[in-house]
Amino acid sequence: MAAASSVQQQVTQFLVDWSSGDTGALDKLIPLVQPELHRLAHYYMSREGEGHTLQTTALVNEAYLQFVDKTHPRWQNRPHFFAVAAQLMRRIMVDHARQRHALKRGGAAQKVTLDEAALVTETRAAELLALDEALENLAAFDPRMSKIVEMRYFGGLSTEEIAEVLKVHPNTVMRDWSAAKAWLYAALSGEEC
Amino acid sequence: MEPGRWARITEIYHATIARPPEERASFVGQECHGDESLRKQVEAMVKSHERSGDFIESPAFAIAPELLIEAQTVDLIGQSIGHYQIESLLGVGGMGQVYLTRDERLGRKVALKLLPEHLTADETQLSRFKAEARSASALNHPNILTVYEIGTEGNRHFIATEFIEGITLRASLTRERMNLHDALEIAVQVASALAAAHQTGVVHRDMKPENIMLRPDGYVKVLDFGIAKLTEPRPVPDLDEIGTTAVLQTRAGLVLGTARYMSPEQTRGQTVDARSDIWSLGVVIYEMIAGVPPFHGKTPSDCIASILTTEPPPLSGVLPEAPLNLESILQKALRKNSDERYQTIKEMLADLRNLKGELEAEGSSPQTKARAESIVSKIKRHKRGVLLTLAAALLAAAAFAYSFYFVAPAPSPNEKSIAVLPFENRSEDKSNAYFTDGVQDEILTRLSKIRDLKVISRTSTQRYKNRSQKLSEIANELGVANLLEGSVQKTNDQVRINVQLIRAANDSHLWAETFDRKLTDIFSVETEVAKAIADQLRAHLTGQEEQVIAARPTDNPEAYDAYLRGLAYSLKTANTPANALGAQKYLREAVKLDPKFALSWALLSYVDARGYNSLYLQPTVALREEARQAAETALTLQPNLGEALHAKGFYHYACLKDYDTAVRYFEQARQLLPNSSRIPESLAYVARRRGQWDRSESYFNEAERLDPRNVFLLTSHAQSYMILRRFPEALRKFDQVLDITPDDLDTLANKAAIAQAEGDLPRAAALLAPLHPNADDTTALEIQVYQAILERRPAQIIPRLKEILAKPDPALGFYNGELRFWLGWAQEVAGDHAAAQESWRQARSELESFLKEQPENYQLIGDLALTDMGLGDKAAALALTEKAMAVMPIEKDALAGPASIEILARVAARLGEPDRAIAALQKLLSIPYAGPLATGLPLTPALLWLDPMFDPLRNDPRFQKLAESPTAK
Repeated sequence: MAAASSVQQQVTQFLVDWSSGDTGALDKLIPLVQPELHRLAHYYMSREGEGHTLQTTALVNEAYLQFVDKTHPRWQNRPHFFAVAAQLMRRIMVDHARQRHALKRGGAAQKVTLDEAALVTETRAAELLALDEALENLAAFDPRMSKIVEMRYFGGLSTEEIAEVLKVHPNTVMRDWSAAKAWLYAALSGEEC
Repeated sequence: MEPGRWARITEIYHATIARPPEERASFVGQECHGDESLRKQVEAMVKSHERSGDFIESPAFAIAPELLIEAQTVDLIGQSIGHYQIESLLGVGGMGQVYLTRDERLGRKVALKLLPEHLTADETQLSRFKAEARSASALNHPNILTVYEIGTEGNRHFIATEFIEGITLRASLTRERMNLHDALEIAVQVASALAAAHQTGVVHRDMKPENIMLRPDGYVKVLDFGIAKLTEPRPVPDLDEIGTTAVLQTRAGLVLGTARYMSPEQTRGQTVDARSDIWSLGVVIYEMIAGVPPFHGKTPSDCIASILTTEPPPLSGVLPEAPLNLESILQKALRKNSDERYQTIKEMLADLRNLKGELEAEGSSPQTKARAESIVSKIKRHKRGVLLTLAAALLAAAAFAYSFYFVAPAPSPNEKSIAVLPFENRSEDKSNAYFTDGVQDEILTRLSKIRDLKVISRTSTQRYKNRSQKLSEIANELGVANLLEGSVQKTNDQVRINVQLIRAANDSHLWAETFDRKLTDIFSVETEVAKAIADQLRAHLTGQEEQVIAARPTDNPEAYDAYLRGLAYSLKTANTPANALGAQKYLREAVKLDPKFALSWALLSYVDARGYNSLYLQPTVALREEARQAAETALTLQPNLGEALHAKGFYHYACLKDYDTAVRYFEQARQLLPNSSRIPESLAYVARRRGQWDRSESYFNEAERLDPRNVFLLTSHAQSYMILRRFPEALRKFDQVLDITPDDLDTLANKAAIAQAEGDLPRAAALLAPLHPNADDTTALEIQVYQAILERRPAQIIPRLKEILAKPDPALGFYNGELRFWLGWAQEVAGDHAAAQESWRQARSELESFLKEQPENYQLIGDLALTDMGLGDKAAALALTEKAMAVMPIEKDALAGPASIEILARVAARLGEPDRAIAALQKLLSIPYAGPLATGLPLTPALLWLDPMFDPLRNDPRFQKLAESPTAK
């Protein structure tokens, strides 16, 4: 295997720092990862037409192969990486959704949205922001549930992988997922729980 | 929330959802007995559980990858892309952002769609899209959004289209159900747009209410033809489950609204054809009338399952008064198996039209309510916060769109269509007919420059001279709502022009006027008339258009008079030496009288170039130079004259074979002559020479829609079919011509030539028997000669040829030599070898005399090669063949290039080179081309059997195999 590039070493170090509680590491991490995520997203969207499946795991896998220095002593556990990647992904997507939303607000007076796809994108941006906020609220009284949703929804992790990261039984993950989903859905529909 | 309470909620929640749904309510009641707030919280979660379905089940990335892509900002405003100055952002779509821009070159508003990078990054996908978009941009139909340009600026790919103010059908549908009358009106307009597109082989692929715009004046415009090609999955050959799953997976991010309109074959990822659009239109119509789509589901996958498996609920369930016929139209459009559906949109369109007619006759068309009002009230009722549901999102579209909506009574859609009928010549001097025709043509030309009007071309109205038909019938036949009638009286330098604008539906006069003017004022009258008509028909006139129609082509009445005479010759149906020479003579006179007469220079150039290319004028270097100079003079005098741009393009096409430049000029001219069939007609010629047969066909179809009864155009189109050996279609076109000009000699001769190519000599003989072509009708004459030779009975034709050649018309140039070659050939077939040799010797010297002046005349060179062949001069014949090939190589001209290969085949066959002859014939039979003989037909197996020139090959088994190949009759 080729030696880890300096970017890989940097990214890995930041990930390690971040997962050990250095919140500042995330701010250094995002600019390193973001261009590549954009490229991958473009790539996946354009491949949509060719029978390629849009799967977060594929993207995250690719990111893993690209960014992580697999020789780093403290970083050899894939699910763990995925969990961090999920958090990163959430942060990036929410940031983008916020930009979209702001853009829409700003230009609304003159603008006609010409097709449903765009409306849906904007709707999704709004939904994603609402979901992010609800996840925050959920984390306040059930951090594990919130984490599970983050790993599954933003990181594309499977039940088993989440169980491995959280060191719980997969059945627990399933139960928490079900309750979290119901609570979030109710919260987003404006129902009080 | 307090941890203990949350634990209690989740505990009861899990216990509840483990039970069957019918027991849940009572269970929650028991468990939460006495704690009303707990009960409410658990119930809310259970209800959410039951409803949440696919909510957050797919990872965020799969649902919204576009959110990972940098949101493009609006900082483009104020910038320019190409010659488009960006003014504002109109909207954002899945296919990119749409900006309102100003075309700085033409000073008009243009909508510019910037395609998103992720869709254009893939070269293959992009070029597939471009090919489709180009053919889509050729569509010129009142119900299709006009595409001006598909361009690239740096990395940015864009589509420039006409800008329309209106709302999408989607926005309109968010109000209550549409009434039957409006829905049918929209359906008919959308179906005619699709019919026009399908006719040229373009499939929309993404028919949905978002792609249908409703203009305040009642016009419906279909957007985004073929753009779906950018995201379309590659076809999956079989409808097995793997295919379906693959598509479902591929389309994980699919927007629900798009899924709803997909045909079953589309959801399976199979190849999509026109019938898929028929399905999608069926879905749209159903939704317009029922208020709900026929197939739906919470998620795209549910929706696709519904498309594949369920039948839509009968319309009568939601709308008891729905006519039975409508029900059956929708059933036929929504058959899962595309083979059981309407096979063409035309059939569906006819049924829709009939139904609409019936309903109108019954008087059951309800009054249209003021739409805007109801949209507003609906929006008010539905004011909401977070847009969780699609319906809410769609309402938002209506809210944004509202500012663009104007309340106006909707006139019937083709209200802005007009045909200018031939004017009556009231002059004492009946030879002033050309002047009357000229005035009519000038008014029509001005109108045709107004993009907002649908104008039927002149050649299509010619037939109605001295008409006795009722106006409403004529209007119906031409597909227009309005007619302009007029008369012209010219005495010396005075003219009286009377015009009447008539609405065909009720035969009422919208406007009438009589102008008594000096001859020198003729143009201002024509301009006034055109403006008044535009005004009456409420056509929108851009500043540019206003200028163009106000133009005075010349201040010199004599020059104008000569121009009109030349124009009359150039518009005659048959392209013969006589007509080409007549036009050329008067146009030369016109520009001599007024050297600043740009329009006349342009027409002179066009007449010259057309004559050069078709060989109906002697293709000399001097002629080519005149064509160039005339076009350049026209352009210098008036750089924005559409006719001049067209003429320059035509010169590049016809004289230089510089197709790229020609097309560029044609596209520029199209901007200025939006209703002129001459642009697509010229593009059809270019495509043909490039061997782009399908594209050429599309252009021909487009031109014919603009000018449906133009016999010159129909004949050219038929000749394309001849070249492609699609004889039944060629015959149908020729019959169309005969419908308009019965007994037309050239058309009958062409039909005979097809019979020859099909090996049906008796049919050819019957068609030719009544015809007596003159010497200057070279094509028809030579078809008769060829018939005599194929029949091997040349006896009767020899005296006729001798008679013509005794007094040759010098204006016919090399044709005289060509005819003498045929005389020799007829004599040879008759067995008079000595006479044949004498004729050929004479033919050779006649033909050679033209070589110097006409170095690029491949037909002349071919004639000489055949003559040398007759004289037995093998070396000279082969050398000339090579020369003909060099002058007109296939790579440069797919249409005429192979003619020299046929000369080679004939020479080689006759002069003892069977291998070369066979190789050449094998090639020829595999390609379309215009043959070197007068018929212009390519060789067919039947002709190989019949033509005596191939006699030396008859015992060769390879030749026999060729002559027996499947196309033989």
